[in-house]
Amino acid sequence: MFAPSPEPRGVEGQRPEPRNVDGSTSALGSDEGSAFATDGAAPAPQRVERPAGAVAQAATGVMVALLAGVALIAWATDGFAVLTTDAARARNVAQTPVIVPPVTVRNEHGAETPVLHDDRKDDTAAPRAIIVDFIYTRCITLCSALGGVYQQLQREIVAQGLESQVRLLSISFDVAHDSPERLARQARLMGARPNVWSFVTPTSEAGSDSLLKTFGVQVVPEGNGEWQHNAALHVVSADGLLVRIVDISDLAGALAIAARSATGSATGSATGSATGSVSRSATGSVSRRATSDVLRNVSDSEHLPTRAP
Amino acid sequence: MIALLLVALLAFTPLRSWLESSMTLHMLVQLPLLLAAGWLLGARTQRRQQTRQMQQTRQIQQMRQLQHRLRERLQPWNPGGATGLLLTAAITTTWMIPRALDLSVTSMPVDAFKFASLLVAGVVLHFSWALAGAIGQAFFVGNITWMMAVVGLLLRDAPVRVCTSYLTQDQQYAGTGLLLVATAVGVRWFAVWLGTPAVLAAGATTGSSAASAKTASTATAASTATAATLTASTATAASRATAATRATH
Repeated sequence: MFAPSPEPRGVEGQRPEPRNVDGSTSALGSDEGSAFATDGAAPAPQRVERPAGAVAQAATGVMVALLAGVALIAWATDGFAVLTTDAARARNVAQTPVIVPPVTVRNEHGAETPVLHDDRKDDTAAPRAIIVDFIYTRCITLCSALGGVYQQLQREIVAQGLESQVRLLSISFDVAHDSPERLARQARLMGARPNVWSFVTPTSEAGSDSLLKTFGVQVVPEGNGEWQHNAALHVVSADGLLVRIVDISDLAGALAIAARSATGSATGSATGSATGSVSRSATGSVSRRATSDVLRNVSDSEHLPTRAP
Repeated sequence: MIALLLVALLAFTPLRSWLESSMTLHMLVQLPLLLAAGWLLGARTQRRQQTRQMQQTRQIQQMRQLQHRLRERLQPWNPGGATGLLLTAAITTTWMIPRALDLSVTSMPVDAFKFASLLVAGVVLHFSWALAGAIGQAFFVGNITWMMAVVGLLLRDAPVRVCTSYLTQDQQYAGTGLLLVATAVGVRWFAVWLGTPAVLAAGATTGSSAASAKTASTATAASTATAATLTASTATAASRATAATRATH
């Protein structure tokens, strides 16, 4: 491109000759001020008349492209905040908690209950917050890792004496295969304590899909009856709201948020100003004040979830 | 005409869901084909075709005229091709963002938007390419290939799935593919930039001692080699992905 030595500028505009040689001639056009040198290809000479207007037009064009580009990438990244679907989901949930639908499930004892039903003896106790994960018992890769994480969580819960505030729930999405017997076997293998960690399978595919959608878990078939799915720690408040999605490496964070969203009444001062971001409850058990308490408690901790790499 | 056929094929046949079932096919086949279709739509009428214009239907002639007028109209807004290249860079970058890719798989409107935006990118790329000149082109190619290479590296090394719609293995193939395409495009462009006819001549005569000629011939050889590897690897990745999908059922 350095080869064709620059001709005096301005001449080019008058001559009809400089057809689209190749990039070399119009490289001159990238110099500022020579707005009419840009017509490498077109024979039209009428733009020569108003150079000032032409410059403004050119500048407008570039600005519009720049703005459009920034807007496009802002749209794709949720305002330059996230790069992945998981991160976007975690961010949305942190901002606006989601009501967990009362899907019917079967637990490891074969009993049919709503998914968030707390299966402990003492019915009078305050409801507990739940850390939820999604598994299938035939899984040998990610779910085993998740199992390890949950064993660690269980140890922490017992060690910190949080059994009355936080419990663990593993939901299987393998509706066809994960019978109560399979779940019970899984519980035994994992050394799950019945009062801390329970296992359930939705009774229908539709129920399973509804839960997966609510929690933002996408299951991709891998072949050989195996699946890949995104793993995270989903914190559900005692009121049945999905309040936070935490990375599986952040056990302490998940536990802290769960413990805080367990006892909405711990902050005694009821301000009465409901946030209103959650307007309606599926079960009808969520009072506005409780909701706002939960939200306030949760927002005490840091605002944004850890971003996926 | 070929371009329209290509778009119709990509958009309205089972080809669409098949290409979108694998990350590798999605990123390395569907997206480039859409861009190419756009480029063809924006392409100037060739001289060879002009001689045959008698035989062409009126619709095609009208389309050509429309395209020509559009090019004319847009040119004042496109100094040195800057507007068009910026837009193209932004659009191609957007569809390398995992979340955007996921959305296009799960949401029909987003997929339609993906098709439209990439076609537009192809058209304006053709409108802008000659205007840009060597510096503009170098900037654009450098930008795009750099972006692709970085995304490719990230995809290869990511410990988790970045796209919730795709498998880990598929993600690694896509990463490798992106890296290879970036290298191939970069090297190829560089070879062309070095001065097309001279380079080709020098490449043909082995044992040329001129320094520039040597660089050029290596570049061309490398580009050919990369292109070959790329085709091979894309093919294997695609077949493996298909095999995986089939095994599922």
